[in-house]
Amino acid sequence: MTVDPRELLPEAEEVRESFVDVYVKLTDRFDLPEAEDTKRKLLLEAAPAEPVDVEPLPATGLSAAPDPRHDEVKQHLFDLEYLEETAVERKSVRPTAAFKLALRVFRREASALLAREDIASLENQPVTIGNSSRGGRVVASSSVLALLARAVSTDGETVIEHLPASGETGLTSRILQFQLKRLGLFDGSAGAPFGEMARAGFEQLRRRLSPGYDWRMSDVGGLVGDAKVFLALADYRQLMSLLGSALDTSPVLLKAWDLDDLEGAPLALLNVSGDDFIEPTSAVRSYVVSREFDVLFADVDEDRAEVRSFGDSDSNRLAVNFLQYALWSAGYYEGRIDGVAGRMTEEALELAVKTLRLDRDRVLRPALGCYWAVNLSALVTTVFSNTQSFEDQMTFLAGEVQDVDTSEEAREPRRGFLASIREAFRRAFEFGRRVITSVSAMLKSVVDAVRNGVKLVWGALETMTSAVRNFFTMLYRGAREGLMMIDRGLRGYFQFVLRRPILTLTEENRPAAVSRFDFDRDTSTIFNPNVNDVYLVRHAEMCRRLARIHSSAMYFIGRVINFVVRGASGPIGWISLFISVLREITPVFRMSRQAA
Amino acid sequence: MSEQDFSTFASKVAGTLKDFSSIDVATYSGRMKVNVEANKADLENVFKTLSNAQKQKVEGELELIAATRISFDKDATTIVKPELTAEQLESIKAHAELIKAAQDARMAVLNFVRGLLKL
Repeated sequence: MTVDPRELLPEAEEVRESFVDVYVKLTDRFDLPEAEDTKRKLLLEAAPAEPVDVEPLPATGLSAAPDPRHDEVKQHLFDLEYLEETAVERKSVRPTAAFKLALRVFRREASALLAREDIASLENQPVTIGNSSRGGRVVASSSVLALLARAVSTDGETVIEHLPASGETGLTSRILQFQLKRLGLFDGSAGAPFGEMARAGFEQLRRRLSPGYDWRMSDVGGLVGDAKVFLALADYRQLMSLLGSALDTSPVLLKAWDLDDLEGAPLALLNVSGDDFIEPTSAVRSYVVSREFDVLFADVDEDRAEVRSFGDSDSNRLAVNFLQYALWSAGYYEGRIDGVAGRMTEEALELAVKTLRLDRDRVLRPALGCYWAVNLSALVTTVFSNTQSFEDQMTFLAGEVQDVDTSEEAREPRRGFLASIREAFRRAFEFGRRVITSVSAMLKSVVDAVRNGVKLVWGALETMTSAVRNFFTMLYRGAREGLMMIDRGLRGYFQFVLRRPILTLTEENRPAAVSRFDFDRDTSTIFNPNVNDVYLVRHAEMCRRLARIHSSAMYFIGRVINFVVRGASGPIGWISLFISVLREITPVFRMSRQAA
Repeated sequence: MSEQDFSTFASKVAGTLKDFSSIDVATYSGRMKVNVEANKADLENVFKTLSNAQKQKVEGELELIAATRISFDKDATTIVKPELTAEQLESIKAHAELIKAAQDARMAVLNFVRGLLKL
């Protein structure tokens, strides 16, 4: 008679899932790197078995034949920290074992991540997901790597609703970490639990990006954005490389951009050496608007690609005329109004900024020592303090500037005015110096008092710390003693209770079956073929009941340990434990009596 | 108990668990006579003498009826002796029961660890 071995294959899914669950949670919670390999193998075996109806996997897998795409996949795996750098640099015609393992692990994790998201929503994305040949498991191709690497959505749907919570390791967390890492704002590992470092990098990115991208933070710190957010993430690096750090000092770069959508914006960029305005991009516009520049005059020589001084250009002369006239009218400038901005014009401008307490960045900013960006609107409005619009002021000034009287008689009263301003500045400086001396003496006294107070508090803290340390040392020793007792008890249980052989005798006291039933390891059984089958059945049943008793015993030991270690064990638990032990033991006694 | 001690304990538990990543159940049938010393007539020696070191003390024949291995990181495998007698067929049923018993015992260990570490 023959038995098909497949009929004996046990349904072991429950115990298998429990084992994987316990092992993975254990390694995750206590961060056990030595257990990672086993964990990965277990997870690979426990990958979801439900098939997903998607496109077939293209030939981007690891065939034995040489494939130039392997290098690309390798690089992606390295970027995502699935592969060591040495493995990337190693040139091999055929895929190496490390490469295969890294790809397998990535595929498993990617499929799990994608399974938690809505795979259907990825249909329009540049990604291909296929079924493997093994049980319909979802396997992502290298284009999934591209998805994770680029994380670009194009359909305008909301992609991220909340910033990942601390400790989260999902797809959103991984994408954000990876993007932040690419932008140099995050030094950690993409895939690690979302933490403070990633959050700080994200905040830094949010501050650096223009408000034109519609960033909004929710009350709980989540991110509300749409696909533009990801586009911004993807474009950001390129944008910054175009703008460069030079944007902060040299708007000469502005000439490189195209600006179609800037019409009507409160911004004018004057290319004084050419006939046209400089055309910036909307990104430049956002930048300039964010800096609150209303009017920006640049002095650029496109042919020589260098910046010349403020007043050298004829095209800029009208603007300088306006500026000189405004300064002259207010009494800050006493030179000629000739449209050529020299040292006197610069000094007058500085004096006006100081006297009127203007925000220097709003009014002027020198760049590279030879460039001036002047917020003429702010300056003129402040100087004249009237309610005319900027356009009206400019029209008025354009008419007036030709009739300015720059004779010595006209300039004399302004010289006296300038002298009085200088005297006022000198007195203010002297007053400030005295105030600073008094305040510094007072601060020194306060610091001495605080220092003495800190010494007292520090002494008290040291005493308290010592007492607390002694208390916890006592607790620690007690707990350690308790655990050592438990350890001895467990060893005794396993040695003297579990690993005893189980013997079933016939009524004639002949051995019917004997088992070495380790419960936690192997089980071996020898049956006597010359006894009645009833004894075999009885023996197997006895073994099962002993296994249940073992379960109860382990439960009991676990409760005792919890009681000792955590000091928490309720009376209901003890009663239920007692009942379950009785329920298991009673049939064993009954069977023993019957056997006797 | 310090964090370091607890991590060391967890590491030991993980190492032990790794040893528990498979279940082996073997069933034999046959007669066996074991030559034991007078003061060591212990049933435990029945299985100890199955090892190579003490083979000379075993007389008789043992026949492997069925063996099952369940590996949690691999597949489950079962070997069954072909051409079973009627008595051995009953042993196969008992073998299936013993597999269930072994799984029950393994679940007990896992639940123990789960409860101990609050996993």
